[in-house]
Amino acid sequence: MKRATYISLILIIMHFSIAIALSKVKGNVSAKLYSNKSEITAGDEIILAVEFKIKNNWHIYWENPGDAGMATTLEFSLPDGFEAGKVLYPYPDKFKTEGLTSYGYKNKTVLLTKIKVPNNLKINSDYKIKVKALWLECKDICIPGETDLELKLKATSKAKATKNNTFSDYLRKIPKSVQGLVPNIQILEKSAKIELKFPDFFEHNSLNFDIFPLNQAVFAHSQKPKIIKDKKKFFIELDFDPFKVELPEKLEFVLVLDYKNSKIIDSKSIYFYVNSRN
Amino acid sequence: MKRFLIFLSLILFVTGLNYVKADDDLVSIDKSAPDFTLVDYKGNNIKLSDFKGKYVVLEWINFDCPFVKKHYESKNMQTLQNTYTEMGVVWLSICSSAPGKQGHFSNDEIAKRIANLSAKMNYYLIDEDGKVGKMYGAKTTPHIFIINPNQTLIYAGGIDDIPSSKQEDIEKANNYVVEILTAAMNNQPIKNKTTKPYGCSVKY
Repeated sequence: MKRATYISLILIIMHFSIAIALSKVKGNVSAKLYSNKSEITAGDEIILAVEFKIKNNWHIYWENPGDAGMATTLEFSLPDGFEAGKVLYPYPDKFKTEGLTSYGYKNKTVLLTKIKVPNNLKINSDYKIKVKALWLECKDICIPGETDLELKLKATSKAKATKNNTFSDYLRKIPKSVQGLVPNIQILEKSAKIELKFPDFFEHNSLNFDIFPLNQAVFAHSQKPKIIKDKKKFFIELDFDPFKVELPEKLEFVLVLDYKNSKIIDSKSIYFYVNSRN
Repeated sequence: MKRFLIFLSLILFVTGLNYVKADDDLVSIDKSAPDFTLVDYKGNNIKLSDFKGKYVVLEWINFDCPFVKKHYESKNMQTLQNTYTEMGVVWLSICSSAPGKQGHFSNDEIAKRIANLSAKMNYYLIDEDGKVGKMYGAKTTPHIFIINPNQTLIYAGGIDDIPSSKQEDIEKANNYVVEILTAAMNNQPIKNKTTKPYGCSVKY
């Protein structure tokens, strides 16, 4: 009797340890945490990057996942006095299946966050940064995923930068506001008409663009935006979701422009805010 | 006689136009919920209009979707189904998964799943060609639509306001099925007629 119990106990323990090993291998998404600086100084600002590597044919989601899915999010556990800014998402790809459209990433993406370091640091001490990454990985089926990441930063009187290409590549994909772009928006019954005033816009012959709404459950993600050129004015008209939620104060979009030989736009993405109350 | 016939044909022509399906006929809040007939897993023909005079909840379902599992494994969905069916609400779970796609099961498997979960929907309807799902604009599982006794659509959206796959978020969230049915049944105005639906995409 006792031997049987002893053996079954060992089998149970073995089963659990095998299960743990398998769950690490099973995932379709792996995440890594990087910092642009391995050493920090008082009052500094550093950039944290969470790099997601996604198996072929799978994808994870943007901050507005679109018709379905779940946004990829980061939860920070920082030492006293450290402050995390907003998570910065690179502009997404579109995923379409059977009349539904989602926004997200395939193969690889990096989410960036700026961290403010407090003024009182203990020189030569190590500071631990912890980040929990949560996502939904989908192909034809979906699996929720999460992982805990951490890294240590050393406080010094003089910091040195980390050489890492991950940051420059992905910083370029983070949408930014463009100066001189003054959008107006008309709220119509079934759509929103966004006016863009681009300096010398019409001088560019070839223009490919994509527009991604940041507000969730407002726009019909599967409907193609309409381009309306009216004299010197340029409008993008987006249809509302038939079950759109109450319009928020601010309507925000990421506009991705692909100019040929562009002199104005040096990055591929533009982020513009529109006040729907105008 | 001729004039009368011409007049008559004109009337018919004009009235005929009213039956052409326009975009305005698509499902929307505070409008009539379109009727449909679907077969449940036991083989019964179920028509939405059979339930005139009662509140009806449409719950888009896929037993293998992690967001549906969140609400069934926690028993949250069954509690809602039980509470409201006991109050005379009709609960229709609709599966629009196409054959071969996640969530599409044989009738025997559906029976097994319902029994194992002690699911308490009145009917589990099979919409494998996706017609009803697309007619209603069902995007996620779960996606909730609530219809009042006049067969007017009074709500479309999420089951609650925390779009996660975690069971521990259920008690922290504001449940919209409870909010909408409570308001409607007490003749109070409905605050949130549409909310963001969350979950896996419907596997059309």
